[in-house]
Amino acid sequence: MKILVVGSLPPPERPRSLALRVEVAELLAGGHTVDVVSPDPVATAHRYLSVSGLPGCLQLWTMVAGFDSVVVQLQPGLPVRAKAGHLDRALSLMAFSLVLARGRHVVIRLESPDDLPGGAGGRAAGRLWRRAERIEVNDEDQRAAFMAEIGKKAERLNVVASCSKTADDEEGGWGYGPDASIEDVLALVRKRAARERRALASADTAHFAGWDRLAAPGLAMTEADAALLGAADGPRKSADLARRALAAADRRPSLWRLARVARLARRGIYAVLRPGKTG
Amino acid sequence: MEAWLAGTLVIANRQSDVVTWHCERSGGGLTYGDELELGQCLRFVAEAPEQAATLAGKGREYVLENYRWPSVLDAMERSLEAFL
Repeated sequence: MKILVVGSLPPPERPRSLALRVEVAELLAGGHTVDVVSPDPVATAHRYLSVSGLPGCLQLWTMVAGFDSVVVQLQPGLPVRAKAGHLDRALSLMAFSLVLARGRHVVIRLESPDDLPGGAGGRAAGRLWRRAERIEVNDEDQRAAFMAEIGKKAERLNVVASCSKTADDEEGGWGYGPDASIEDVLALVRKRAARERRALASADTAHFAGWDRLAAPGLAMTEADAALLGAADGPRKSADLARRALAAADRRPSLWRLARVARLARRGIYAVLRPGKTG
Repeated sequence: MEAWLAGTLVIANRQSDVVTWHCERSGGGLTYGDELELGQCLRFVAEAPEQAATLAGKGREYVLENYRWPSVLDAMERSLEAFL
């Protein structure tokens, strides 16, 4: 199957991005062709959404056609901006549900309730949930909270507790409590590392159609992601990552800010050279 | 050991037998064999700071018990006497 995955892979490594990486690795291992679209400009992906919120939905509209399945991992900015007001949230959700209406076999993943600003309830969000063939949440507790928030309409949704595929945790967290011994922690560390290693190894052998586009200069990629996506030219250097992150942030310090920092640095040097006479 | 004295958990490379021995003996340090294990060790410190602090406390106890001047000198004296 040709599958479009919308969400952020590492870097940076967060539970959400690691979970999506495992999901992508499993899809690849299953022989599917995967195309990753990321809203995060420094994440590993084939294509990027250059804007978030409502404009991002419009951009995504042009991408979803032609895929057998669409997997979306919600996060702040996809589709709802973290600080969106009621109207912005409603419009973004409505636009996103229209985008997903174009896709087939839609799966929505909600790694954490906070990933959808404003919560899972409301009419606009309800429209979005109805577009999904399956909604994956992290665990049974989150599923129960999700169902409670949606209310009666949740009965018609297919909500499953299977989203969490990070290196975490049959045991849950690091959860041995304050009496944890070093052996307990080391056992968990090795188990999770081994699981991550297996996921990477399985992805290594999988075919990844379109990976050559990842070789375009300037894309950020860690060693693990390079291995996951089978990129022959290996990981990007940290300088590439930093450059891209800076470009994405598009924030250059003002001269006033630079001057202030320089002034502080000068005072610091003076304080070191002439202790007791700062000011 | 300075880190342990300062109440900091140690993350050490397992290729060093000496450091690994101290970590295992004290119960206050994690050892890693590759970058994935190192990543998980760092995750542990970031995600479970209280547990990490508890383990670091064991390291501190270990240093105070075994590596203060009187203990070290006693051990040296014993070794020298045994040797001589």
